[in-house]
Amino acid sequence: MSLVLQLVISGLSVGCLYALIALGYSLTYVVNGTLNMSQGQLVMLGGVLMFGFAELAHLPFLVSFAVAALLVGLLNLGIERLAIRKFDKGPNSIEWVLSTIAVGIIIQDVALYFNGPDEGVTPSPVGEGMLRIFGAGIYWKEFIFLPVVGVLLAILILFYKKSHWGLWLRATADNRTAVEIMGVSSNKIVAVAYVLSGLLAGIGGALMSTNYAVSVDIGLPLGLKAISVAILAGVNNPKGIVAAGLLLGVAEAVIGQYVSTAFREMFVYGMVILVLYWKPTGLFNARKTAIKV
Amino acid sequence: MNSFLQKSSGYRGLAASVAAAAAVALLAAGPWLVDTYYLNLMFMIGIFVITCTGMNLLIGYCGIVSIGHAGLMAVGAYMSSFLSTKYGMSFWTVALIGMAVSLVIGSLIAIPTIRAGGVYLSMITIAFGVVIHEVLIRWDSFTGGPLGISGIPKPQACAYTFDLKSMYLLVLVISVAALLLVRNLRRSAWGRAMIATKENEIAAASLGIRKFAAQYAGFAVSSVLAGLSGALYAHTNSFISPDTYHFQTSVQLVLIVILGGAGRVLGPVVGATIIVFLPELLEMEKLRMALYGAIMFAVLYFLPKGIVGTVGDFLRSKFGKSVTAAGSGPFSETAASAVSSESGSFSEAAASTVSSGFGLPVLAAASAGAGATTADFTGTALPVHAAASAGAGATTAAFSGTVLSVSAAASVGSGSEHTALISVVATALPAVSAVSAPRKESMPEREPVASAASESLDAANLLVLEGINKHFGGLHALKDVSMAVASGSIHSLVGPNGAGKTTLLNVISGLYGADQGTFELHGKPFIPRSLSSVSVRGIARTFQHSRLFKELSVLENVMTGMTRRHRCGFAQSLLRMPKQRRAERVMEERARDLLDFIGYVGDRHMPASQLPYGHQRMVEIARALATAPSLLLLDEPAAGMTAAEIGQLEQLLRKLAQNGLTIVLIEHHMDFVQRVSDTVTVLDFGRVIGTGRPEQMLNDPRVIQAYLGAEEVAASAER
Repeated sequence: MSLVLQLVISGLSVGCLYALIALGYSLTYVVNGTLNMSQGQLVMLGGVLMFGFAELAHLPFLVSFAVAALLVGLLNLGIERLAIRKFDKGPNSIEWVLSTIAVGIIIQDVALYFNGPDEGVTPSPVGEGMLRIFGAGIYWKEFIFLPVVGVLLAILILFYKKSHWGLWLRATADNRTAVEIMGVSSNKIVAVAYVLSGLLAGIGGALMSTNYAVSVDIGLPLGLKAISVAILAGVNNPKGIVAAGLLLGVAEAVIGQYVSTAFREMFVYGMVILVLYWKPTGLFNARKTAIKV
Repeated sequence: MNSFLQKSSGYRGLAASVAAAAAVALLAAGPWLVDTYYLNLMFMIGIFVITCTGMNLLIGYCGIVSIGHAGLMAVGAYMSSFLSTKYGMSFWTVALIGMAVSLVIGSLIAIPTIRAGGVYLSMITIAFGVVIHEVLIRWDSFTGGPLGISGIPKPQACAYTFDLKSMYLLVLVISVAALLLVRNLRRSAWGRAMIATKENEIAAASLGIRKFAAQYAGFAVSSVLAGLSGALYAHTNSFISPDTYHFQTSVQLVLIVILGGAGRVLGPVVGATIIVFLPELLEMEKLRMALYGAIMFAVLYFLPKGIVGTVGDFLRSKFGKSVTAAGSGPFSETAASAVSSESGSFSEAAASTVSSGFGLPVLAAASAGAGATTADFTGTALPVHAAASAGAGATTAAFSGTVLSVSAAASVGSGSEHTALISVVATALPAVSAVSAPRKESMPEREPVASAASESLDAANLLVLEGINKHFGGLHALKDVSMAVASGSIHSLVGPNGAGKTTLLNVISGLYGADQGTFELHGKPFIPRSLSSVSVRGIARTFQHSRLFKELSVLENVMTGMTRRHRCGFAQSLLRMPKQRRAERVMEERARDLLDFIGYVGDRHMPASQLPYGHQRMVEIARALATAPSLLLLDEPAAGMTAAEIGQLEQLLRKLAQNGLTIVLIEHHMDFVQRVSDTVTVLDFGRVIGTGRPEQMLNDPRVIQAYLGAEEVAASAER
């Protein structure tokens, strides 16, 4: 019983990171129908930068955290400008898929060039202590993800509901032309969405590095896992993404324990394929996009 | 004029074939010209060409980016290696098995993701590649784990064992064959269907083309080719390991395709050559992937059509034939009106078109004097031929009036470029095509089913709607709409913006499902389930905005309309069998007739994107007619047309109705509606407020009120 509880909590805490990263896809996808295929590499970059600042440059934890997240957010601003804006030509365009994949490859290879293949874990400020809940033991540094991500999501929701940027983001998601007519540059809003998405990736990576070993190779699999979450939920459904992320984390923990860690990834992608057979627009996606003629 | 052009392009085709044959012969001599090191590189190019030719089909024609094809290559390579090392099966058998397994696994990936589409597909294929790589490393008993499989036997035929030289030749033959197959496919109805679904899924569906079949066919071909090249590689190299098949390889494959030029048959050859030789030239170990990424980025930015596409376009613009349409447009009637109103500018425009294209002194002066006839031919032109083709062609046949002026300029260069600029101008504009050659007057090759049906039900209603309701969330867009469309009539739907006209059309054509209501077509119950199923029932439609397939030529656009009826089997199209060629000829002939029928005399091989808007709309109607419908739904066909074009449209609609076609028309040009319609139904706020004769309906106070508001009506009543 306590093992199951332990697995569930552990799964939830990694799951909330998946959700955080997957939300990065959703934020931009709802605004202009594009997403950054190199999101995973951005997460990796966040983690590697965090480790570099905190452990190699010995900067204070919070400073490293903030700088890592901000740098990744700014990088995503550049990616939007260079790899998205020119290639965003309507729903059938594939150029932005290719260009952001190219960006991902470049990020990964350049990070490898400077960082090398080593992996590292940033010591968590909450220490190595254990939390005991009903006999289940879980490390504080793992458990802490849950409240931190919870607070981040609350801030994100507040930003969306209360700030004028949030209003514009929601408006652009609804009708980009109408926003343009209102005199708001929709390019600017798309850029904001990308910065937010990059921040989420950077924060996700920095958080991740406090409990898991990060190296330059983790980007691609993480990005794929996050997109799996987004596909499972429906990429334009943020609530569903949070749910699917948590679910996936728990499922992974359980399978890793009882089946095999080796085939954990295959299980995830197999599930995604099955869901696509069954519900191509995602598990939690009720909304149908109207076709305009 | 077209026969002449065709002949010259025939010569050009011959020259291209000779050049290609020479290139292949030179490549075939490769083993005796270069050392083993370079032969190995050339072999790798061949392997990449085989895989990427399939991927080119996928990326360039279907618009699907798969970043997991290294996984499919791995499937072919491991399957064949496992069987031949473990069970000693011959290469030829295991290669076939490898291709088959690759097809099966590719299908498992493709079937759900094609339905989901776009970015999902790219992501799933990446994930697939990653999973395959994991499997290769972990499934020791089958794949040999990280060490891979070694000692794979070389292929044998009779007593001969293949070595690198003969394998290279084999790969060369297979890659040429693959290129030819893809070229065949591009020139078939399947290729057009792929491009159509890529460009505009909805328009393609309205022509009865199902996205899934076209895209799945592309995926299947690419899977088989990937499996084949994997098997070929494994049995030449004698050793395979998971390292060969990771994510980077998949990216490299995509890069080859877009660098060469997606959708260009020869693109993969150029791309693969560069990608194989580049690392050799640069001798860099680190940052190689970053370099690939940078190249990909640079290609997307500066060479969006790839090397072959960019060079090809450049050569065409420099040496190719110029657009042969007259300065004032490809439509005969349009040219006529332009001359009658401002003949000076017309001749100027015509002259400039020709001289800018060829730099030859051209005298195409159409005198403005009434009744004057000018025909000037330049230099070594062939006036007889030009005149003859003008006479024989559709241009004159479509006109009844006296030919006022023929200005034709045909230039014969030393090369293979020719042009003939012929504009035929008729006197009596309104009488255009009232009486003319009988062949052009009847609709080309009307399908017997449709015409029989329309004759037998002549007096009856073709389409009957009863109590149609449609909600969009809280909006009740159609409220109990009932309507009967008489056979052979032009039935207009009018009403203010937002009245539900387009929604009704969308419901009839199967784009939206109705929430309530019954439909009857030809007196039989009919449920419009989807665009393509409705198209099968003989209902064609056009859209409010032009939805031509811009990458396809004008002629090909019309030919896509015949896909469902005339498309041959996929294998036949790949192999370009005689039956398929005949079908293609029939389609082309019919498409030409349809273009004649709508009065299009411009360049038929021009990309549709270059047409002026009004002409795009007309070609769209021709495309809809190509599905041989009994009912044609037109959504604001006159929007964006010039007055002359509207006149021409009116003629066309009359002609169509005379041929027994039933037309439902949405239009805002009220005078046009009044002139052309037999019946008018007025919609307001989703409700039918009246049906009747046009003159009666358009003067009905309720209708005026719907358009102008109650006060207007009161005011006009007081007056």
